Amino acid sequence: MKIAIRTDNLDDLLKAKAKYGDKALILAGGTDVNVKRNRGLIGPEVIISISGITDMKGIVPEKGKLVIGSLSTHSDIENDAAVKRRAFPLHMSCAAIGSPQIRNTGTLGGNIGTASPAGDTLPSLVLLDSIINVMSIRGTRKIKAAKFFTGPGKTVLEKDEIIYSVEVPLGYTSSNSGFFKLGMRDALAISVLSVAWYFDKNGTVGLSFGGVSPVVKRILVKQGLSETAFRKKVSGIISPIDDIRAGAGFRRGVVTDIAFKVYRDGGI
Amino acid sequence: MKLHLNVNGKNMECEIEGHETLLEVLRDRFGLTGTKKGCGEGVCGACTVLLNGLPAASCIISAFAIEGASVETIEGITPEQGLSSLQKAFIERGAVQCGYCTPGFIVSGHHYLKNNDVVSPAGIRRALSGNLCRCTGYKKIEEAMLSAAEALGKRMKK
Ligand SMILES: Cc1cc2nc3c(=O)[nH]c(=O)nc-3n(C[C@H](O)[C@H](O)[C@H](O)COP(=O)(O)OP(=O)(O)OC[C@H]3O[C@@H](n4cnc5c(N)ncnc54)[C@H](O)[C@@H]3O)c2cc1C
Ligand code: FES
Ligand code: FES
Repeated sequence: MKIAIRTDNLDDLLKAKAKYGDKALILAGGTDVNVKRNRGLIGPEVIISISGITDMKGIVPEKGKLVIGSLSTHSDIENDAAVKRRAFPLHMSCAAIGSPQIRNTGTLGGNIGTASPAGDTLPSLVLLDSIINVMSIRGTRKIKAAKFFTGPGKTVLEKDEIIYSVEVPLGYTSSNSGFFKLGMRDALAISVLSVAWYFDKNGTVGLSFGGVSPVVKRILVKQGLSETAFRKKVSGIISPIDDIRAGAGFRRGVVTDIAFKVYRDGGI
Repeated sequence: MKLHLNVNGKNMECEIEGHETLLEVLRDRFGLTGTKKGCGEGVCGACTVLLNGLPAASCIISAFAIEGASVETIEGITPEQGLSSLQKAFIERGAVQCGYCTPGFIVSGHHYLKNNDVVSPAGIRRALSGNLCRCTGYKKIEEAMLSAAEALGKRMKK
């Protein structure tokens, strides 16, 4: 690293990002960036620390939605009463991440920026049709979570853009929605796979799946399908792979089992 | 570049490089070697400190990014004289074997006990879930936490 910049001013961040583009890596909590750096996997020329930018913090209720600053930590989100009451899958996602140490440091913006197919907030963001607000010196863009991720570690973010905030629609409670993560153990385990779901008043069930395709996939199905028809629908949109955590066959079997249990019983 | 931190209640400053972690600054620049390095990847919790009051893995915190922060380490948590109730309980209950993980567990455990008047085995387990121990099998650590909670007059939730 040649240049380490720390700023608490949004305009300065946007200017620096416009100037350095791809050469500059943003550092939020650093729980992904510094693991890669400690392993010697990355050595960015410029690193811009943004954790002092107060504009990008806080969880603010607006009509029918919450606007969550990208620098909100997983602990901030897990402990927010409105998220827990009315955007329950996201509460569950943040509570399932790593450990207290990681949740106190890692941010929502960082989880989105890393764009891992196993990132635990992603199924909830995609399920709830969240909007990711991105910003650059050129202006702002609103991007649907489902359109934001294009592959493992890949997003539609341009090289001068940053993730500013996330808009999460409300109305999802612990009785009509949820999130389930399967890992090797309860804490400190990257998801093998995950499922987020909701049941709406019109008999539609929304389900999204993490860790079983290059990007999180969502389906909307009517209640009352046969087991075979339902399993076929789920199986049709996922494309799991073998990796160090599990085999493709295991993932396909287990994710369809969990999804069907949720669909049949209303939860897990 | 210059870094200013409040460490264990004292204002400290030093000259650092952009790549240094909080763990490196604490151990190598300030000589606070109670904080241990295990994995260097945020997984084991041996390097746990309180950063602005919350448990954090200092091995993956960029020092330059936390200018002005307050940090509490195992040295700060340990009373001037003797040991804390939690530290005593760890010894009495056999929750220390090689001891490498112990400072991290004490920091996480101290934070939990300080912030919860009502404690539970499930709460203890979650609070310590970011700390790994290769020796004790965790049972004795949980017992030490419960015994310290009792000594501190905490209420117990089943
Ligand atoms: C021990 C351990 C356990 C973990 N467990 C889990 C887990 O269970 N589930 C899970 O999903 N993740 C897990 N993670 C991964 C990580 O903690 C999360 O992805 C976290 O949300 C990253 O946030 P951060 O602020 O630390 O990101 P950083 O490391 O600071 O950044 C991550 C990436 O996002 C970019 N970025 C960050 N903020 C912005 C922004 N505002 N605009 C544009 N780009 C940005 C960065 O440039 C970088 O590429 C774990 C990590 C560790 C070390
Ligand atoms: S050394 Fe920091 S978590 Fe293991
Ligand atoms: S006592 Fe040896 S690692 Fe915990």
